[in-house]
Parts: sequence; C-alpha cells; structure tokens
Amino acid sequence: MNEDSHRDLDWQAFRYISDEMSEAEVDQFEALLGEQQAAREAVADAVELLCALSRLRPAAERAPQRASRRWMQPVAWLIPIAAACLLAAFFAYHSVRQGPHVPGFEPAELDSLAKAWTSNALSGADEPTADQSDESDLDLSEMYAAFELDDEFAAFTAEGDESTLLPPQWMMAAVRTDVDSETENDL
Amino acid sequence: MPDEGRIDPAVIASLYAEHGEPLRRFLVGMLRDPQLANDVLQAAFAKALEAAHETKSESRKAWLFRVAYHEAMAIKRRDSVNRRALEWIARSRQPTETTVDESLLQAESVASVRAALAELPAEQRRIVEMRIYEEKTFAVIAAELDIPLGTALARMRAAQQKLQAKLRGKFGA
Repeated sequence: MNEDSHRDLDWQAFRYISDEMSEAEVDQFEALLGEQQAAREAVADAVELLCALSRLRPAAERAPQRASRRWMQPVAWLIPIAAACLLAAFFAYHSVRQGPHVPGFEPAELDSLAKAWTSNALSGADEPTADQSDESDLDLSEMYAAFELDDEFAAFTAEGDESTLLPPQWMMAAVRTDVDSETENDL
Repeated sequence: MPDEGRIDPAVIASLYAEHGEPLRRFLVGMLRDPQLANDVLQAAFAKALEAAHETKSESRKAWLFRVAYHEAMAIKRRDSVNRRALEWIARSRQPTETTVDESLLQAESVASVRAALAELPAEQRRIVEMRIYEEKTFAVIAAELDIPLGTALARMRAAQQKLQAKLRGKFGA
C-alpha cells in the first residue's frame, strides 16, 4: 500500500469516527474494515488522534460550553468518542490493576500468566509518566459526577496495591478454565 | 513437549500487552461504546485462548483485529449500538468536560499532537478548532470563514494528515 492510499485510509477513518459519512459510505467503509488490516489500524489511530485533540481542548473554551450546555445539541458528534475515552480509561486501568483473586483458584496455579503479565506491565506501557501527570488539569471528582460514576470510580480508586501488576481477572479465569478442562480430558 | 491444543498463557499476555490498546481504540471507533468495546475485547482474547494456536505468530495481530471486527459487526447488526449510544448521551451530563483518555493515550501522543497543532498553518488550525472544539459542521465553518466548502474540507484533511503523521512518528517510527 502506497502513501497516498494510507492517507486516504486515514481520512476515511477520521470521517468514519467523526460521523461525517453517509450511510452508504459507512457500509462501504465497514466492508473495507472486514478486508484490510490497514483500515482497522487507521480507525484505531484516528481514535487516538481524536482523543489527543479532545485532551488538548483549550481551557478557555470549556467554560462557555458548560454555560450554554452546548453538549445537549444533537450535533455533538464528539460526545460518544469523548465519553468512550473516559470509560475506556476506567476499564483499562481497572483491568491492569485488577487484584489476583480469582474465586476458587490457587494463585500459584496462575503463576505463568501472572509472571508474563507482570513482565509486560513493568515494561512501562501503562504507567503514567511524569510528563503525563503534567498534562492533567482535570478535576476528576467533577468528571466522575458528570458521568454519574461515583460508585464505580469510588471502588476503582479505593483498590489496593497499585504496584501489583497482574493480568485482568477475566484473562486469568479463562486460562484457568482452559487448564481445568484439559485436566478433565486427561482423566 | 509442546501442547498443541492450547496457546502458552505468556503469549496471550504478550499479545494483550502489545495489541490490547490499539484493539480497544479500534473497537471504540466502531462501537462508540466503551463497555461494548471492552466486552468485544475480552471476547477476542477469549477466542485467542481457544484458537490462536492455530494461527501463525506473525499474523496474530491481524487475526485478533479480524475477530474483533466480526464480533463488533455482529453487535452493530443487532442494532443495539445506536440505542445504547443514545442512552449513553442521555446519561451524560457534562460530556464536553470529558477530555481525557489516559489509557487510549500515551503521554507522548498528547505531546506530539500538541506540537503538531502548534506547527499547523493558522488557517488549518482554525478549521480543526472550529470542527473539533466548537463542533461546527464544515458547511457552517465554510460560511463563517467565507471560503468554499471544498476548501474547508481540504484544510481539515491536510491538518488531519499532519497530525496523524506526527502521532505515528512520535517514537521515531
């Protein structure tokens, strides 16, 4: 694929996630997503770009929008993506820091996965950097309240040792189930 | 002796670490619903546990994206996405305050886009601001700036390409 094709894919992906496409174009692009990995990755990249841009929204522009409640307008196309950014942050953070407890399972049995996971996690991909901290100018409590997520986030922020980096619970359970079924088959 | 019926958990952990976030971004782009995106992400990796050993290691990324795509399309075809998105919008009180994504974004991404935004020609930056921060349609932007619609679109596209290129090159790739 040449550079022009890549640029065209990027633009299509941007229009796709921005709701700038007609229904026919959406159908066509989604068919393309089924065929081309480059198109799928272009969508992922476009989401990253939009999230970065929304992160950089000038503070001066937030207040007037809050006052006029422009978000209630039906054309607020950024809402689903921006909202998705917030909850995805919750899910990702939660999944990385999920505790090691899987009901009915011995932690030792999950060692191989946990070790592999910890090794990956410690490579730093999910750890906020000092630079990232500097970027933050948000009042999180205000944000949680805005999304009526107090309970979820309270539980989330009250979780234990953040230095314990373990696989998501669902992944550990899935691995464990897989092992169990194999053991049964062996018997 | 290698177990041919199951993939090494370490491989799954590695796949998740390497491709989990791009896959999540892709799903958010398709579904506009982070809960659904997370469900599909889990489904894709659950399927990887069952079947990834049948795939070649070099094609597992594309395989994961393809599995996720089919799962997402199945959900979209069930016509639940629009309903849930509307419900989500209705529940949201101050969405424009929501600007963060600490998981879909790395610090370098924000810094790269900020730098790229500052480097854009003023007329392109203005289009980005009007479209993304002021949520104006291109028709309105064109009218307000007194330029043809095609010009507004061309400027946005040029800006998007520069920003995307900067984002991709943030690690010198």
